[in-house]
This record gives sequence, C-alpha cells and structure tokens, in this order.
Amino acid sequence: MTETYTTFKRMKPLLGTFVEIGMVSEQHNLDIQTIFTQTFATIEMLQNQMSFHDSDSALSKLNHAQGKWLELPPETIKVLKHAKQLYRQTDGLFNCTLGGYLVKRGKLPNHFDFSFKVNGSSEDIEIENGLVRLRAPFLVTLDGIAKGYAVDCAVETMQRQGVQSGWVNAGGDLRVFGEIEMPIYQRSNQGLSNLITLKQNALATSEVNQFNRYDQPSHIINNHGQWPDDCIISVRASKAWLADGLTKVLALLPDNQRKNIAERFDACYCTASEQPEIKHFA
Amino acid sequence: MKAFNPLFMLPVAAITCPAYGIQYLSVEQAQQVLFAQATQFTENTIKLNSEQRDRIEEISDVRQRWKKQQAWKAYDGETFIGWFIVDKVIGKHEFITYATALSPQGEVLGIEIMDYRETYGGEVNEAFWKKQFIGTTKNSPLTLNEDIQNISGATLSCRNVTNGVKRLLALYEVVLK
Repeated sequence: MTETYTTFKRMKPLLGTFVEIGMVSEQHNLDIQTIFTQTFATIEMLQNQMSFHDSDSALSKLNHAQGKWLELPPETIKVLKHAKQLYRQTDGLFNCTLGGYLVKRGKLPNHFDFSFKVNGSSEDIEIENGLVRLRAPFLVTLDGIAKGYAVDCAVETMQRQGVQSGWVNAGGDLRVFGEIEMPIYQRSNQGLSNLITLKQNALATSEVNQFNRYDQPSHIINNHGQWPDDCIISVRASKAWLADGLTKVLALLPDNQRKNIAERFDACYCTASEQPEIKHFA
Repeated sequence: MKAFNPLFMLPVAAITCPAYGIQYLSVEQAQQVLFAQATQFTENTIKLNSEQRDRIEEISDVRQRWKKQQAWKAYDGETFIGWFIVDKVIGKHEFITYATALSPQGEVLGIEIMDYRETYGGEVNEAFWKKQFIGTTKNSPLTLNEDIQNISGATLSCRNVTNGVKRLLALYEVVLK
C-alpha cells in the first residue's frame, strides 16, 4: 500500500505580495513550527535588505551613497552579481539601473534629495571584496529578481532544516523541490487555467497589460523607459531568481527571438494567447 | 435518510465559478502561532459606534466597514500579553481572512493569513477543473492525502492586507489603548 503524507502550508504578506510556504511531512522528527518561522524570517531579512521602498534598506543606502564605496550584506551583493550577469548575458535587456524611470513615474517612492539619472548600465555597478559603488548617479532596483532570489533562499533554509520536499510561492514566483509534482495554474483576465506540472524546478510569471499596469506592483520597461507589448509570460528555470529575471527579458523581446535567449539559460517559457487554454511551451 | 447536500441550494453559476481557496489556519491555530507562550485567550469582540469608525478612517485613511471586530485578549498566566484580532479584506478577486497580533502597547507582533480565496466571475474556464489532476500522482513517488496546487501569474499586491493592518492600528488608538 502506498503511504500517504500530509502537507503543511502557511502564508504571510511579504515582499509586497502573499508568500506561501509548504512542505511535506515525510519525516516525523521535523519541528514544523520552527521551520516556518525560520523560513519566513529569511524572506523578511532579504526584504529588509533589498526593498527600494524602505529608505533604510541596504539597497537604499547604495542608491544614496552617490558614488562612494559601501559595505553591503553578502545576500545583496549576490543579487547584484546575478543582475550584472543577466545584463551581460541578455545583451543589456535585463537592466536593474532603471529605478530612476520608475521613480519619475511615481511607481517607486522618491526619497532622494539629489538629481539622478533615469537609466544607466549595470556595468557601472562595481563590486569588490564585499564593497559596492555606483559609477554613475542612476538608481538600482532589484525588483526584477530579488523576489525570485528570496524564494531560492527560502528553499535553502527549508532544506538545511531537513525538509526533503516542499515549495515556496512568492506571489507567482515559485519553486518546488524534492519529490513533489505540483500542478500550477495561471491567472489571467479570463480566470485560472492549467499551466504546467512542476517538479524540482522554478517558475515565474509576468504580465504586461496596458489596461491594468497601474494596479500591478511590478512594472516592465526597456532601457528607454518604454513598455513592451501586452503579454503574459511564464518561464521555467532551475532557480527562481533566473526564472523571475527571464520573464522580464522575454517580455521585452519579439516572439521570434525569445527561444534563443531562453535556451542560453536552459530555460523554457510559455506565452498565453488570447485563448487562455492555448499555450505554447518552447 | 440521505445526507443534505448544501450544493443543491446554490445557483449553477456559483458552482462552476472557478475558485482557488485555501485555509491555512483556524482561529485556534493562528492564536497558537502568534502567541505561542499564551496560556489563555479571552474573547473580547470590539463594538464600534459610527463616531469611532469615522475616527479610525481619519487616522488610517482606510474605511472601517465592520461595526464589530473579532478580537481576543491573550494571557500568559495572569499577565496580559497582547491582542489577537481577526480581520477580513476583500479585493477585486481576493477574499482574505487574516490574524494580527498586537502587543499591549499596540505594536504589530505578527500577521498570519488564515484563509485565502480567489474567485473569478465571468467566463468559466473548464480546463481548470478537467485538467486539474492530470499527471499529479501517476509518476509521483509521494501520494499526498490532500491535493496541492498553486497559482502563478502577475504578482498580486498585498496592499489590501497592509491597509487592513493600518486600520487595526488606528482601531487600537481609538478603542484599545
């Protein structure tokens, strides 16, 4: 007879969205309560480091440093390195230096009493021995990948505590680990539809929609501040930060160039057409 | 006698309306999580008159819709250790019940989502129901005794809950302080 297992789930408002953590109790010696507490604490710690909204975060300190070298926590440095790597490998499409555009449009708060550039180059973020400086007065926003990174770190926290199978879903940026196969649904204007069954992988979804772009907390623009065409795009990759970042990159590309970029990262993607049940995974 | 099935009482549209809902914690479980050291909870429903509700809106900029707010006082032995308040927020598609723990001084000690629901009216996407379980158990070495599912999509903002907590802090100022 097949043994059955119980799942434990919890949800908290974090990272500007709702974060669900789930695990399967295949072992009886796990302290479920402590695992939840520590995993949520990991996410909260990263939120406090990388929030653009919070003027006391490590990221805000970097944006206020005006070209000076600054010591930053290792997690923030890791995400900045990921952002630079994506910038290089996507020919500049993923660019975390566009915070100025989003501030000017009121999408991000303006807590700056100096003039800043609306855009820059991620190459101008210098990282050396735990120190970081911005070579030009642009504003860094890590919203494009930090949520995914937080999901990855939450998964690591759970694994360190001995959890063998589980998942973390930060408002649609999610990762499933262990032996679970999880059916994932996609939310669109038409409702919910079946998308993919995920196992030992990460998935992220972004939507560009000219009618509700003012309601959504995330916002995709290119290096010149322009919005791409409307689309819903989901990306499956090995890590959540990568899936998260690639949704932005692929949303900015015409359809015939998406596959090439996705393959560079061993990722696959899916775009929703007008009919929600017709989906293409490439 | 056949068991009464309440589904028969619902109009057809309500049955086919695609919905996603999960209960995370009951009141007792949420109390345990937010006040692990508490030995006792005493129910203390807060009744609000219109003047108090206006004052709450004035402070928080969020309308206090309910005239009653479900609340408990948490005690560790004889010592009062905080307020446990259950609240609801309704978004465009979301219905959320959450619990907030406040210290006796009115600081937020923790927030837990108790019940999360997304409901979509309008078009019914049948694929959601029909394809729901395809491939979930056939090759899976784990057989789950409850079906797990998750949603990906454009990120939903948790602003409604954040505003709800802002409102509860104003409620504390007006009636609990």
